[in-house]
Amino acid sequence: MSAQLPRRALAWSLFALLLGIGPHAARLPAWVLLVVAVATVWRHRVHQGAWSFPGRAVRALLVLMSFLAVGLQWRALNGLEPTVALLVVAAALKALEMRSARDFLVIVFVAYFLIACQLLFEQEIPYAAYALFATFGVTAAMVARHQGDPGGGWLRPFAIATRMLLQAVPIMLLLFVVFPRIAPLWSIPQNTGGARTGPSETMSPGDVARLSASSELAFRATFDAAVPPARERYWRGLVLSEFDGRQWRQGALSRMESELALQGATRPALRPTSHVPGGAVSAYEIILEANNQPWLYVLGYPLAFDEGLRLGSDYRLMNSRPVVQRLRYRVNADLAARLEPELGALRRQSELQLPPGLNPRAAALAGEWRAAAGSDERYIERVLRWFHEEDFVYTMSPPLLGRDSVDDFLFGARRGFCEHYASAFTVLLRAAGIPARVVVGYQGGERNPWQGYLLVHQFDAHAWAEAWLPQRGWVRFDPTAAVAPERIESGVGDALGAEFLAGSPLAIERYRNVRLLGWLRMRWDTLTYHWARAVLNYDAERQTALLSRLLGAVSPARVVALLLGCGALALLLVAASLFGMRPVRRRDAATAAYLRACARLAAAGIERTRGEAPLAFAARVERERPDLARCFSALSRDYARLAYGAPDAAELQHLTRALRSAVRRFRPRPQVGLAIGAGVRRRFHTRGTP
Amino acid sequence: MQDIIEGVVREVGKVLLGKDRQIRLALCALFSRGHLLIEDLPGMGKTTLSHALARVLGLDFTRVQFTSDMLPGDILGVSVFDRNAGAFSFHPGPVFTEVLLADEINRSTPKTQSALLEAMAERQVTVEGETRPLPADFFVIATQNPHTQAGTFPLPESQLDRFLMRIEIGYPDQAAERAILAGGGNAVTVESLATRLSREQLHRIQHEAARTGASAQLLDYVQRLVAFSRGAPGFAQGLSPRGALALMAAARTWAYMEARTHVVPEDVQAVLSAVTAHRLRAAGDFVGDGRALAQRLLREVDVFD
Repeated sequence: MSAQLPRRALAWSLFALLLGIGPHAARLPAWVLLVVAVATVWRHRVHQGAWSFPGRAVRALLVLMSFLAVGLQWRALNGLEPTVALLVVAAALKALEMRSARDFLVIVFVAYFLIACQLLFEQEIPYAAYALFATFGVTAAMVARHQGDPGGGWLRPFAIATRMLLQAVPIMLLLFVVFPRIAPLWSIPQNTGGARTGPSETMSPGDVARLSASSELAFRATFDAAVPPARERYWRGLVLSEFDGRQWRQGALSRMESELALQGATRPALRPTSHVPGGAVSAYEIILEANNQPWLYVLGYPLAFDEGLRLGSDYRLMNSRPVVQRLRYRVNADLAARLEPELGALRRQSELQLPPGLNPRAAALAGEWRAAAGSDERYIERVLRWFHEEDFVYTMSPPLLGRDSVDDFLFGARRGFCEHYASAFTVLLRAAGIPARVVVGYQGGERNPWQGYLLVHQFDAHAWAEAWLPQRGWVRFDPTAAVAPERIESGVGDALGAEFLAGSPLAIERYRNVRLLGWLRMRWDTLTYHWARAVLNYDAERQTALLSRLLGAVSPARVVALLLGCGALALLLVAASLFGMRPVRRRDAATAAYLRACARLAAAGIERTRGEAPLAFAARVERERPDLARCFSALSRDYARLAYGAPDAAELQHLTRALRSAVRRFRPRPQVGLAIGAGVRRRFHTRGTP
Repeated sequence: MQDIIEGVVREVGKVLLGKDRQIRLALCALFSRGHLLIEDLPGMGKTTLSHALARVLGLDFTRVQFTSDMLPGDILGVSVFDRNAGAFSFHPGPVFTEVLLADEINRSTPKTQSALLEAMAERQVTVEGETRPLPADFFVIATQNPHTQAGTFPLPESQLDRFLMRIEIGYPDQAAERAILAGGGNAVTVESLATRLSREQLHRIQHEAARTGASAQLLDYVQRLVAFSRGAPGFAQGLSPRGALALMAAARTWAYMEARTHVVPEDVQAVLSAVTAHRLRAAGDFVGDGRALAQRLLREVDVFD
């Protein structure tokens, strides 16, 4: 081993490795962490001289066992998580046998790589900040390895690394802006196993209530113009038309459309049958958090939307694949459009479907009331009034219901969350012969007071109903609003009171009424919002837009010019700071005048060396250029008297003036043909001597 | 007064031909009340120069030839029991003199070398617990062979620092060499040199030389020199404040000898090598001894900032 690792480099490299592994710890099984801990401690003991390096057989066995263990754990060696686990185990084992400078470099580069891997999973501000910090730490390990002088304490390498990397920050920013955003060359296996929250394909009693226990963000919405009031903000996600007595699911047509969309059908998006424009057009942009599901959330009837999205016959928007990364999409929507003004017989039949034989009391009640009401509208009004006037309770923890769930709810428990009301309401309407369906999505959303965008959380999840009325098409009815109007007006937090987020006492949203916390939460969210918009969503399209705004047009030449320009600017700044660090030279008038004379002499071919003092220089000038001697010697003597003597005030003034005028008159001319002249003279001279 | 100094230089020059500059530097050290170390190969005239200086200045002088078996008592003196008086009486050593010629000082052991230390620094001697002052005009003119020669003990740095100057004599030029060789039996001997300086004149020169003026701009230059020796790569150790003081004292005397009322950078440069070369140490990677470093100071430090 030619290069023994210094103590500090070893410690820093192990620390760097731990920095790289740290963020993955939560994803890794306990045994991987155990391997890391044992390897680190072992290597440390080796350094102390207490233990020895593992032998070849032991190492081979460890490698084999690690592969086996990872394979057994995930039943696969490809995929994101097993790969990371394998990498971590391998890095730990490498650290165990780290002896030479080469091993050290392997460890350091693996640590860098692990940090980069972390960003495959999470890209939020705290994670990005950690990645940056960890990069500094790993670089510090490199510094510790190559630092010749081990003085200055354990943190010195970190300080040096920080200084080095901070200098690189402008380059980082520049590259972030101009580096080509290339589409991935190979697809990274996404972590499909990770359960994400959000409404699922079906709705059973308790589903939405479960969602409401989560304070995770669902999406952010930014409106170009005015934000619609809270009671109008029904974000449609899924439309459920089939009821089996307990569970609502999508109708056959919607299911088929979903599958087609997911298969990436290239034919034009399936258009809904028809709509009548309402004239209330609103444009908005939504940044949807990853939820692992293909459906999107929209307000109103989408008139225009991003390429790649599909509109279903039930007026919902779908992505062509599950949203596994944050997705941004723009929608132009008509908030007042009438949907599906004509309902064909087949469609009508499917929207009237009820499980046969279930909920007889509800069916009987519906038949009786519909007959008494005389019209669909009046019948719906009566049902809603009934919900409002009877002792229905809006709660997150309703009792369990039996086989006839709607009957049990309507005539027994009367305690339920929005899905109970939506379900019961829809069943009552269908039993009365009115086409109706359940819509699941989000309702409301919180406004960020600084940026004006809406924050929609999982606890804003909601279910409501749509009924089809002749000429009016599908009309939205929210039975929950009849039971608990505050849910619609001011959000689920106010409607539920103490029940809200009871399961997560640490969720900051629970304390939304504490002013400071609310302020902090909104500020933080503003930051996250900008991060998501400006950094995470900076893709090829936005890059082109930004660059063409900066450069006029994007061409390789212009991009290169931008790079060079910025690089030159950075170098100039460095140069300026270097010059700025030198003390300002303040010279008195006499010295300045004398040095001017010296500069002229230099131009005339005789230059003062650094260490040459005035009188010595004058003597040299006298030797080399006798023609200049008289003038320059007097000048030099005056200057020496001024600079090094102690002239009184009168003499000072007199000498300074004399020196200045002498310098002004001092115009030495270069001695042309000096060398030739001298040579000729010498030749004559030699010829002359016998 | 400068004429008298010129006379001294000429007188010494009679025995050390063609070495005006070295004689002036040696005088400069003595006029600055500093000790002088003459370093050169054997036979270059070290002893001649020191003898001649002592004679011409009219001071008492003692010569001590240092050897490797010499003990401190041989220089400082010993107490001997006097049977008649019934008490110890002190027999002063050769150090109790005005000019001490310490010949081949690096042939003695460090123990003996350091016996000179107190005498040189404080102009007093402590023997057996009793401190005895030395004469007011106490100079040490030491000669040494370059310590690369066999059988020498390099002087400790603390002791080197106590010499104001270290000078080398160097080979004579052709003309001087010719004169020496042609001289034969007619050569002037040190014993025939006349005293050219009275004690009062010496004191006056010392007094006035120390009062030569130095402008702020000159002190700036000296500070730049010192700072360069402390900060530039290649220097293991820079000039100490004592070294800087020595440089200024020698420069003042040099300016005085040049009949100037104020020091100019040329004066500093004239004495720089002699004053600083033995105080500078080159750092590990850089070859070159103190002389090379002193040359760098002369070459690289700008007279103007």
